[in-house]
Amino acid sequence: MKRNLSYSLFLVFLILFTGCKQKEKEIISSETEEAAYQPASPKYTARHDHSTPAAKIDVESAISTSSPVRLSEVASTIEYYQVGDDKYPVTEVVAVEGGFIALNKPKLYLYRQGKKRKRVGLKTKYSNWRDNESDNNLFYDKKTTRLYVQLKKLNPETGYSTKYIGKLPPLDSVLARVHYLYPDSLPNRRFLKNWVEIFTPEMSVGRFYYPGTGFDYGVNTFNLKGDTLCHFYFGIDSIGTIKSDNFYNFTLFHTSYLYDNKPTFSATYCDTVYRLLDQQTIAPVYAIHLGKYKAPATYVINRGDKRNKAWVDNLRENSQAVFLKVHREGKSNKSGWLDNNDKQNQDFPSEDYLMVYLKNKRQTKALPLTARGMINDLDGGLSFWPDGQTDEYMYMIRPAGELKKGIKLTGSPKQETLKNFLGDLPDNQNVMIVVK
Amino acid sequence: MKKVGNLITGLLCLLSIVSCQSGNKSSFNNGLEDSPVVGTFVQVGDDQVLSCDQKLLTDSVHLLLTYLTEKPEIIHLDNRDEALVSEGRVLASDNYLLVWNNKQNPFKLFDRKGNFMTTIGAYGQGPNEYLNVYDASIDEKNDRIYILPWQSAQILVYDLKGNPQPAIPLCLRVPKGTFHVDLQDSTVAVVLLPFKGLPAIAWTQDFQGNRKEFIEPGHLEAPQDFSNEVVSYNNMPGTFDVNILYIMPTPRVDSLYHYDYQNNRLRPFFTLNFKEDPIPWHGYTELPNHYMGDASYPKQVSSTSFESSSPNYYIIDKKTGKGAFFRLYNDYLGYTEIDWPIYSFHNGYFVQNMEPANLKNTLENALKSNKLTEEEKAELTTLAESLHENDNNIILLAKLKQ
Repeated sequence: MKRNLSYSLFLVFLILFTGCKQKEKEIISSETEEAAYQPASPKYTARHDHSTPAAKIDVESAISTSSPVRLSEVASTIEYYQVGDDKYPVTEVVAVEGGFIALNKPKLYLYRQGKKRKRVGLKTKYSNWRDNESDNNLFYDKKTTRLYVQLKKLNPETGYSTKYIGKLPPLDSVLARVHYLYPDSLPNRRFLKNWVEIFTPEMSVGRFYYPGTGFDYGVNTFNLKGDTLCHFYFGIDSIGTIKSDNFYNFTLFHTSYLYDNKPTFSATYCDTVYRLLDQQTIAPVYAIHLGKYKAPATYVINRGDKRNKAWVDNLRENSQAVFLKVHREGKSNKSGWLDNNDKQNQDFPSEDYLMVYLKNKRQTKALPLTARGMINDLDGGLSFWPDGQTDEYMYMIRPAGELKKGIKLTGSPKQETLKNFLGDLPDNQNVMIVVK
Repeated sequence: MKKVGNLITGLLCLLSIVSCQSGNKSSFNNGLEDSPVVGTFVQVGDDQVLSCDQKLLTDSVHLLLTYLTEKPEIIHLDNRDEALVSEGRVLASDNYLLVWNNKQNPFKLFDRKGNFMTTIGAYGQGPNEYLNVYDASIDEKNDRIYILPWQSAQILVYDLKGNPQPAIPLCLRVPKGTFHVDLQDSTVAVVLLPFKGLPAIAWTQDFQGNRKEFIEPGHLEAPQDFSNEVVSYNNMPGTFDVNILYIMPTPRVDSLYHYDYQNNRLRPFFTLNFKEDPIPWHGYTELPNHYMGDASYPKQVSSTSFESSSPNYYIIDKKTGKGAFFRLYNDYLGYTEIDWPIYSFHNGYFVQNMEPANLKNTLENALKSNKLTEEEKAELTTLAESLHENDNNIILLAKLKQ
């Protein structure tokens, strides 16, 4: 074996020296950039801001009710944008002055009302981006008008990649460029050990886990150089000692989003939604009250019956409301099975609730089970349920056909803009419906 | 050092293949006739398992697609606005093509001539809507399309016109799973990634969620990590092949199975014993006459995440046990190399879903090479001239040789 290895090494070196000078240089250069800075240890002690009590989202009470929510209760304006066809679906959106930049992977476009879309002058490949399910790879800084992008550079020989956050020049100059910028030529790149969950120019944030499990334990903040700034621990349920490989459960859900440019988190087995006010200050903002429907961590881990237990499956927020999807389990799984043979389990089915917490009224409402979203009373368009959020906007993206088929034009004056939009809408377009 | 050794061995195989790429057509192999035998048949209970050994994979071959498939159809998908699709997975049946969803783009159904039929379901969180989908199937004889989202306790059902039908409630919530629906027997067979604590790895049930038979996970229990997978490629009619990929936290030797759901048995058919420790990340695909697999080497990038190196691919003849590392070239598209070759075979077909601009670029490069006959050049030139950047995608569909 030793002999084989030596022979292998000889061959590899021979080939490297004779044929791969260019590639060798590239690898060394990226490694040098990556290794140029040794990140520092945590700089701050975490501060917890309890000056404003966390608002209670009363899922327990809402589950037994059903009440339609009008879109006007959570938004006052609605706009429509054609955002390209199904060849290049939109995977991420950020608000900029007077419009939105959307990632029609792998192209970035600026979309504005009444104007043709404009290509943002950064030319990336599909392989430069993370997978479609990972959000938070774009950030737009309104103060400096710079777009930040989280990208990777793939080494085609090895398949490994180098990740980084790149900062583009001011947006006007990028839009005015005759020649494209390329990811490798971005002047400002911060190399990362791994993808970050969410970032702003001031900090990036990554989650860490309860030892030996996949349960969230808290988040770390980092500065632009990669120094650890602060550890924050979530107030998760007491888990106790569990076997390291016994943590999977479908009740697990977590998410993160930017609200007012502040990273906001939900965590597994934690009723509280947290917001980072700055690099060292965390504040609990919402307490999701599941009441009798709650399945605490120890209960779930010890395989408690989940019949009539509920958990959050999705979470979004704008200035007026918090939007949740809540699942209530209808079947017993005492035996481990969701078994219809057990007559005791026939009393109610599993149900998925779309819920809206209205901030002003401090009220949580569950939409009717058949509803696909809030009733659109702003212009009588499609029912609205957010796919995503950026700044003070919530957006939903649907094919043109769905709008044309699903919207009834009544001749009402408030449908004038929508009517004009639909009149000019090509069938191949996806439509981004934006409410504010 | 061991890891370096592993990587070097893999690199060597790749390099030895790369070194031949610039050659002419004679550098392609006719098959595995001259390759060594890399495995033996082992009796395991009532089943014969082809047990192969990575140490014996010492040969590298360049295979043409024509070795594995019939002559392909080139299908230009409908250019109607609502028919546009992105590059992604396609399921073929006798008369239809079902293009997988991608974010807000729903599943789209085409006939085999590329005419757009309808969308199937919709993106969203409401009734009959889906976000992420793990498995899907098309049963054209019974006018049904089935869709299994991630972490789901039900299979969504539609007819071929796109009308939602009553969903099938499952006996277990499925973190990741693959399924067969037998409408004649009113039976649903499911195999899931058997995370610790789940009572079954496979089961059968009726359409109301009443369990019929099941198999406990036993030694197949999976570590609770969503990097592991369970996949079925359905390349042999009537066979529910199942590959459970255990790669995290530590890859382990495993087998390719068939779920014989009429008899409620998971029957092993193929395994590869790796020479390295830890063994590489790997997966298997079964074709009518071959087993194929890949091996790649993970690199840890944080305490909780890894990424893989470029994979090496191998192919083994089911009857003779002869095998080799391989690269696959599309002789119908100018002998261009096929990326991710083992993942392009589904439902008895080799499928490539290509953006016209990318395909045109590929063809133009191929036409510059010296490998083509005048006839081939003429065919490719005609194809290249028929492609327009703003057209819908092109599907290359080739039936597997049985």
